[in-house]
Amino acid sequence: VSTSPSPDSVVLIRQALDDYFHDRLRKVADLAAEHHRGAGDDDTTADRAARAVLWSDLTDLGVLRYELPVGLGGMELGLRAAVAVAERLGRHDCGEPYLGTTFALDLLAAGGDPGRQWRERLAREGAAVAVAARSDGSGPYAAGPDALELQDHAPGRTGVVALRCFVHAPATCRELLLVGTHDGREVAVLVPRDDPGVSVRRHDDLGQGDLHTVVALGARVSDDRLVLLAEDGFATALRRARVRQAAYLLGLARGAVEVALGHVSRRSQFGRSLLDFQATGFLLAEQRMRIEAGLALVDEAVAAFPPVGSAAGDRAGDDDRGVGAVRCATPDAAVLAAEALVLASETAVRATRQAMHLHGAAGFREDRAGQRYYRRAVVASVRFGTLSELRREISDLLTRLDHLFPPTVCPALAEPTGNGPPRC
Amino acid sequence: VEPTAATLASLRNQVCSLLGGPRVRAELHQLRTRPPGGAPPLPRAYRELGARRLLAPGWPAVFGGRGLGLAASVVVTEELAHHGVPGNAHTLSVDIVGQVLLSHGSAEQRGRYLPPIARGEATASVLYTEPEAGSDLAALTTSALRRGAGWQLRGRKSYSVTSQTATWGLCAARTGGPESGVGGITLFLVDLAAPGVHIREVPTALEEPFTEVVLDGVTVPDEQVVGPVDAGWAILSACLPFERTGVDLAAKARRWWSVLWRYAQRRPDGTDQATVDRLVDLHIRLRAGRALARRLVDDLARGNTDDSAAATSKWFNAQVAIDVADMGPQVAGASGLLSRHDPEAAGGGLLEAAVREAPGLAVSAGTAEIMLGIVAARLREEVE
Repeated sequence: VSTSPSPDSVVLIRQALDDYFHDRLRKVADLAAEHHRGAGDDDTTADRAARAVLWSDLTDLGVLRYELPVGLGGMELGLRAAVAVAERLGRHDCGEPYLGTTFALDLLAAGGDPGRQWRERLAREGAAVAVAARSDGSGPYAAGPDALELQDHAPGRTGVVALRCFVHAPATCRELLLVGTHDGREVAVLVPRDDPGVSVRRHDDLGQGDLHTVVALGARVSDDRLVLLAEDGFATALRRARVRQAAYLLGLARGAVEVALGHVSRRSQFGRSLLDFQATGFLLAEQRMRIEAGLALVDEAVAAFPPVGSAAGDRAGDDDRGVGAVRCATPDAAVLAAEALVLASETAVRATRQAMHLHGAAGFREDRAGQRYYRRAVVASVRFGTLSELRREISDLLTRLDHLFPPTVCPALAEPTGNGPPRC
Repeated sequence: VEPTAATLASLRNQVCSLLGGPRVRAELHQLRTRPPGGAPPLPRAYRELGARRLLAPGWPAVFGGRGLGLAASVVVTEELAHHGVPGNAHTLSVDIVGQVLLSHGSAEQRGRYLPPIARGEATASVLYTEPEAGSDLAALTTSALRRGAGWQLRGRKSYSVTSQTATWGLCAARTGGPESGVGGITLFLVDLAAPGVHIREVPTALEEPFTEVVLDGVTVPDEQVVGPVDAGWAILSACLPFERTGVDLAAKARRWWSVLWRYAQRRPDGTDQATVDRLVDLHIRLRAGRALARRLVDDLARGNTDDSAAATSKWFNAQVAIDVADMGPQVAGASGLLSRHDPEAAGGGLLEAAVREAPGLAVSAGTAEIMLGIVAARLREEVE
């Protein structure tokens, strides 16, 4: 177990995931990625079984322990390791329940001792968790979670009433983390997926069934499952989730480009390989370059979150260094997380669409990966805020922080008018 | 040994405090508002940087640097661009010709040519392109024939810049027969004041003219052959990633963006959200481009040269720079169309200059199509 997020450990993580997906279990990922159409019904048993196998394998590989502090049985590899995982899962089109679960664990990290204890326990048990935070999909994501109602019941029990839409992959999860505001505070309630007071209904969405409505009507949980989040707890966890989401989107893009590359190299028209046509080669090359740029920005964003155990991470003043690192990030982290997500979203939607296009008509077949990557990318692109919402957030932050970019440019050189010598 | 972040920050401070001082700013202002036409002369500040070992801090101390490696060179290249110092002389002399000499020059050559370049007392230009050999550089026809203990060069080199002021030109010439292709090219360091060198300026839409250099039987001694005879193509290929880091492009684009952002922020009537959104998108891509460039430079510093990664950074940063430049008149309106010679110009004419300059960034040091071709070839290798 390494305690520093060295590049070596990330290389090993990538290798482990590549090996995993490369062998026969790749079939599991394929199966897990397929869903039947129609709202309302739950996943088929086969889907569920496949996803359960996949998740069990991934947790055996340790994906939930990469970010966890050593003190809690983790490896303290930080976001660097998480983006490596998310990118690889994107390539194989199986981001859930990893993305939701890691978001949930970060939210719990902001929940004092009870939250941290749950975080450690869920990670140790390899429990998949779906975050349910929004009652509709139209408001700005960064404004925080919607309200939920808490009711006093028998001593030691709390009832929760909440409507949550667009919840990603709850059917695959053991737990639901209902996040909301109550009495002006952010709270998170951990509810078992099979609690009789909770119903889960599938939307019929573009991505073929990962989105669900969750209705909690008087679900009763023991009080230790109610966690009060620290101020800005949701916003802090959201930043990290956005960085992982960006890596996942770029993974989808990369996976789609790889599949398309295989197709155009095998497919022959006009007596030669499609890859021999410059129009085809350049299109793929452009997508690859944009993906690389997106990944470089993700790395930049990761660097804005101080590694666990660093001076900045320790300054967070928390006895649990893992929590400190979750909370403490440079002011630029919020900007970079949003920026990485905007670029990744645009890049992924464009790249997956172009990749599908290169399959020709065959790219639209439901039994082929071409269309699937594209649909998943579009769904993933709005998960943590629409592009216009993210851009607004960024411009507000840039203005508020007076974050003249780049900071090293002498401000006088950016005088808007006039021809006189610049004044520093 | 890689320099620490603190060392690089201190280096950046030193460069900035020199370039940001009132005297240098006044000098740069004077340069910007000089009468139209001709090449911008090197500012005195250039030699002052050299005197402080700030022009080539990446080079070993014995050659006039500070031994800080490639990351330090990036700092200087960025700050020259940020402060609006005409940067071609530095890029060509230090980042390109200097790099070729550092990696492939003889000990004697490095000792003789690098220190004056590092001091800012000498500059060097690149003489690769010919009227009929641009992207297809291996088609070059400038000949170098054996003459005693040296060579005689004959040919025409086009589309170079700064040759009219440069001390030396790094020239690619054919030492093999006309059909020798990439295997018959050799690099020569030509003294541009030597008899037989004729330099003519060709006015351009850019900030400075091209120079056409005619080599009419120029004698070059053996000591000025860089690398083995007939190995020129291999050396050029090895050094191309250093030429295509995208660092200079990213820095230029960032300067332009800063002007636009300031302008948009300070408009008394406010700037519409659609325009702000476009500036935000450019900000995002600028940061991604810079991150790409830095990642590439880190790799190069560790000895990993990857032509595909370099092509990616070069292509991406050129596209971003073009898109930033396009936004000038959209943000500033018609005053963004005015040049530095017009007192009403927005941003002191910087926006207008950007519109002229940016498209060239997708041509110089390899066109966008060449970059796409390199990456497409890499994809083909991966699939095969």
